[in-house]
Amino acid sequence: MGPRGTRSVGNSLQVRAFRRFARKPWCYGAAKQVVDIMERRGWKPYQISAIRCVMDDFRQAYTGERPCIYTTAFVPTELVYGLGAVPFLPEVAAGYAAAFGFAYDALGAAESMWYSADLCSFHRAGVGAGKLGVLPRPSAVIATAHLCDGGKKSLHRMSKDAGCPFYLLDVPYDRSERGQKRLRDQVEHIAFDLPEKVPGISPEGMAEAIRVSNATLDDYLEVCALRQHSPSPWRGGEALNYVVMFLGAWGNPWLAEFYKDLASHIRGIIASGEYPCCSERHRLLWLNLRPYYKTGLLDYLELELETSVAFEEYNWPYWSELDPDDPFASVARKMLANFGWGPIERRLAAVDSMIDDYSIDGVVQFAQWGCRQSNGGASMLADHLKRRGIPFLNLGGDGVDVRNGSEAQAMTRLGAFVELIDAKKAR
Amino acid sequence: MLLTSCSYIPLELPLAAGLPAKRLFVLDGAEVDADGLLPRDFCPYARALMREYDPGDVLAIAGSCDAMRRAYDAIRYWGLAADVFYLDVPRTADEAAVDYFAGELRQMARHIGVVGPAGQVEEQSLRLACEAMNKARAAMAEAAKSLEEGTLRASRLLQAIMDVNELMGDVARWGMTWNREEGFGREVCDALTRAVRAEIEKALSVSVQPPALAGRVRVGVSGTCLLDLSVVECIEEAGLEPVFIDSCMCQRVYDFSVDVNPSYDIYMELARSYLSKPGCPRMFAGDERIARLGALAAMYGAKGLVYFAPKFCDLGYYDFPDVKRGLRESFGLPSLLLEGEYGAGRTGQVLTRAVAFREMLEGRGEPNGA
Repeated sequence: MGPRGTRSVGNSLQVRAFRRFARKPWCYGAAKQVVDIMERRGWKPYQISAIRCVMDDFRQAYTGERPCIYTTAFVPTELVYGLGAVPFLPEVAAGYAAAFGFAYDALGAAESMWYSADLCSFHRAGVGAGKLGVLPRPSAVIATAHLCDGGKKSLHRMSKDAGCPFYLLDVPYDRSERGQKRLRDQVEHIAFDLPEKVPGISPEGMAEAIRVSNATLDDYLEVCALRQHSPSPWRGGEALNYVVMFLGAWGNPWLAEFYKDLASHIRGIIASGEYPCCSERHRLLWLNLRPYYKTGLLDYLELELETSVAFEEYNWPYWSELDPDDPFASVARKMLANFGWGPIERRLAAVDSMIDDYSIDGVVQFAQWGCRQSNGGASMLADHLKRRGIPFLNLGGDGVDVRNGSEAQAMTRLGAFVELIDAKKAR
Repeated sequence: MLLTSCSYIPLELPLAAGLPAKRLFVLDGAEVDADGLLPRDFCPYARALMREYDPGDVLAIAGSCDAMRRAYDAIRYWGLAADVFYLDVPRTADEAAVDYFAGELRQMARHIGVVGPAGQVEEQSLRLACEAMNKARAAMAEAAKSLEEGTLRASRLLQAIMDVNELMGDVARWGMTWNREEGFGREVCDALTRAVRAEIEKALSVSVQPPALAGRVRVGVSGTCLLDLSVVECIEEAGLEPVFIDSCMCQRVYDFSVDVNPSYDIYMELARSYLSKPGCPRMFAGDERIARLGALAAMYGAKGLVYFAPKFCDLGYYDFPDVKRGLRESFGLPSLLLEGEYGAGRTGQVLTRAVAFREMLEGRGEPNGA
């Protein structure tokens, strides 16, 4: 996709090296051996499962072993796995870019293409990474129209650059029968149109992908139930890193392995009493994402302030079991079930459920710079929580672009917020 | 009165229900209280909608973008308007989308039928309302031709369209007494058409002589929402001559018509026309927008494009790089991005950039129309 070998903004040594090696199959053989060593050296089974899940998808996407389909974060990946392809989420890749120090290059590349720094950095970095040629080559792009303007627009651009088919799932606003049918028809259209355009794609695996997804959901619901335990048995700071699994791997059998291992890990923590935050003072619900570049923010909150992030909005399972006999309608229903879509009351109700289920003392919304759909609800969220007597903090920052985040300021605000909860409990 | 947030909401429906209607252009920007309701890093137009509405007004908000979706939530949540309707507008114009949108329009008709004086939206009223709007659009399109001839300033055209919009909501200026319980009849249709034409003629009567515009570099203007008149006035002040304004405050309002043939389903025709009208950056229609802008530039002799994006308008921010690249590669046209809040055109910074753009265009060759 990108201008290979050309000098452009962000085309750093790191980027050039990644671009050169990411498509070599032997790299994944070497990486597999490294993961085996990590496993022997005591990395936790769920961490190893997660790495293997991501690595497996990356290998198939980068080496062209299977067709790669770019999607936005809220496309049910059952659709992609069911078609026999491998999903790739550029906005998730932006999180990796931040974690591994590529983000500045990707953001610079996007800005050199006239993308405004006022746009959400997850999408901006995705477009920039595409320009730098560090993403796998997409065979097709599927975007949903709900929740996020940046996702669909950035992926549309990437499909044009790649010269591959672009499909927009124009999700209706309401959940009426008419709306469901419209969305179901669009899903079905993709499932039958794409095989005519991309070799190696077939809808035959849809039912199986949905069965895998359902089985995984059972495992995941157990993880969620275990996380209701107080003190919190798993750090939210770490859970926010695994949002990538939650967003991008439904329908992949590795995801079930990951959640099984995670449940086992959490059960072990509860049995041993070795909680990550032993003297837990408060339990928070975290809305939206977190900074993925190197930051001490979550450590400060959970370890120094002894305040657990007990659960995260973007890890909340909002759909019920899907029907493998009616896969297209199921995928449509899953999209429509998203609590971030539709009137704000749906999101407020979801937050209420999480507060009740996870015994939450306070709510923090990480106000990702440029995230209109989430930040636009802040005043209503604040008012709603105030009526419930739950303290709320709207914490400005940026998950990818370090230039928009001030760690010291954020820490000060979190410290003050914890004091506020202290005072509230003392009353 | 019914107030709408977007050019994709047909005014034909409220008119047929006996409700005067107009697009809600909030030219004076946000009120101070908006800060508490929507974030500061948010679309200025969405923020400007945060105000107390008259209890008798019905507000129709289109699901244009993330910002408008949250504006809809905030208006409802904070009780700013007594009645708020959300119109789900598809992002494509294929037959399935047209069919879905027609269903949404029927739902809107039922909603405003209940609150409108006519009690319901009768098909005959709706066809006449479409006819009246077609004539209003045609009158605006006719006036826009004066831009090409160089006898009308773009800012004046824009003002005329604002004036027509105000007229739509002010029945007293239609020159007749509208018995609104009877819906939208032939007499009302004719009266509205006459009133719109008179308003347009008034605008044209203050047109300038061609020499006044001769020698100025012709440009097109595009973007999502212009917010107010200041950007176009600023472009003119910089010595450029806008010859087309692809905006939901201008060309995207009038450059289409609805087929009122009685053998067709009027809701399907309304849906088809509105979804197929010159597209806003929110729509997904491949490179149609770029091709259209290039064709307009060729038709009017524009040497470049000035693109205005309201601050924090994601759709504009994503649209501009595509438009810039497409116009450069396919038509050899340069583009300038201006962004800002309300009153952006009254700032020296924007004027300086517009002047620099003019100098750049002048350096590329002889200005058109000399």
